[in-house]
Amino acid sequence: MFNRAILIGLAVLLACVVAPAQFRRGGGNAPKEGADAPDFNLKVLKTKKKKIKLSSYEGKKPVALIFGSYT
Amino acid sequence: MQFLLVYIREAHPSDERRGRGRGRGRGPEVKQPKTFEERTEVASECVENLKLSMPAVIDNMKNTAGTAYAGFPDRLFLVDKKGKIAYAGARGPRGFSPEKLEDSIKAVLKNKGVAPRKSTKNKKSQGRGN
Repeated sequence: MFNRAILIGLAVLLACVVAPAQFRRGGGNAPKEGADAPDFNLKVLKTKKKKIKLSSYEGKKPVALIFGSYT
Repeated sequence: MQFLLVYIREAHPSDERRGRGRGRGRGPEVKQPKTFEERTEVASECVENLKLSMPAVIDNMKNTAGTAYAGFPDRLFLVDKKGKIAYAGARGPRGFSPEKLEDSIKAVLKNKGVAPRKSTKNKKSQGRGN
């Protein structure tokens, strides 16, 4: 019973303190250095080329990715 | 070397609660796009007004790329020639560091497009904030 209470307490602590801290840092899902870059195939803005597949650059050149929005 | 803007969902849209925060008033008044066509329109406006010359791709409405890279609200990455993450910036705007990206680009270009091996000591210090 006592162990169960400790476990529940730890779970609550994790949910309330550790998890939001991870979220604030945005570190939850960001790929780490050295990991395979997650591939994507996205529509290109205003060019003749319809889509860009990130992995199509593999073996050719490095790619800097700038994630962002207008606001 | 290729630079690619990945346009993701709006960080401070005027029709969402977080849009009323600190960021508001300093940027354009834009509503959160509800369709891909709307997102494309806002992305076009962004690229034109900021006079961005690099190619831009638009994340889909499932936010696939944004989620895979935890790119929201803004973040920088460098992918080397082998398809590996050579630089993973911390979450923006505080972690948004073009200087660190530039350093990584220089290091990768100097090493034939591949991320140079780092010592264990460096890896430990870079693990923070990702």
